[in-house]
Amino acid sequence: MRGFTLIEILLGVAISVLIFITAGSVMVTLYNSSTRTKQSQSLEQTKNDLQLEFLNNVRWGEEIESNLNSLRVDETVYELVDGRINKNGEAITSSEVEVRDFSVVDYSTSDGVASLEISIELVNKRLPSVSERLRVVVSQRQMEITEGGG
Amino acid sequence: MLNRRGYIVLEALLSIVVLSLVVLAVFPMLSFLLKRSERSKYEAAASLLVQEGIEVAYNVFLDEDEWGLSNGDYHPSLNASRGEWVLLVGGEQDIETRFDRVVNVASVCRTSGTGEVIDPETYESCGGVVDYLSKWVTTRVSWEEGGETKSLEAKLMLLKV
Repeated sequence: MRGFTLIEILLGVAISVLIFITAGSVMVTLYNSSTRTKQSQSLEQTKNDLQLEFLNNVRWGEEIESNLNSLRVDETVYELVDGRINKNGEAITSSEVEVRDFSVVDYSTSDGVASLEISIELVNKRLPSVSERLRVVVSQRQMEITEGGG
Repeated sequence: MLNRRGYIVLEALLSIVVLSLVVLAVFPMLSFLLKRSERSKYEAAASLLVQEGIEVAYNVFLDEDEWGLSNGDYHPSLNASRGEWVLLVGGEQDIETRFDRVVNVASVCRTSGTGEVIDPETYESCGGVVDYLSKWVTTRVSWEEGGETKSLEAKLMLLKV
């Protein structure tokens, strides 16, 4: 029976240190990746919510008026205020998301029936490297049926 | 004492083999999840492009003059001088460096009796009547992914009222 030699102990310590460093870096990477995924999902959710909001309201709206940074659909007004999109004065985007750009342009071929290109740039406040650009094209549906055609 | 040391080496080898098996089992799973996530990303982008094609076509055909566009493939574009959507002849390639898109316009064929829609693919000899007050608009977006061609499409019937 004999104890461990100095070389054996040093080797054991070195291997332990290597394992700790590897495990530590893996943990940090996993944590960062999980945070990034969470923030991306939150941004994706905001993007989907905005897409649905504009698609439904613009398609079936009766009176649509768009300026470069604001949109009115019947009685509802959307505008960019302090990095958030407001709907009749109430924010509809999360406080964790900064809206850097909200622009609306009407490219309709017919008067009185809007066809909008809505561009929105979203950035995560905690993780500015996580950003998304949403570009939605939506046409107002012709609600009034008139006689004619052929 | 010598036997015991040999047994420890065997244990170490066994643990390496077990670890390798675990790693080998986990890697395909990770690769599958990555591919799945990438696919969802491409599908989301493609669905926006499909929707854009449909929305632009809907708006373009509201214009009386455009209703007469002949059957065929088009792509949505912007007439910058007039600030209006237009449909240009032919499909478009490499949108966002990945997607191809085509907006197909086709006549609607109906049975003369009941007005039931007949499959537009048999339009040339549909056996019914061509309905000049209706059009099929089909937008198809395709892209290459992992050596395979994926596609997404949506179809809308437009009625002139």
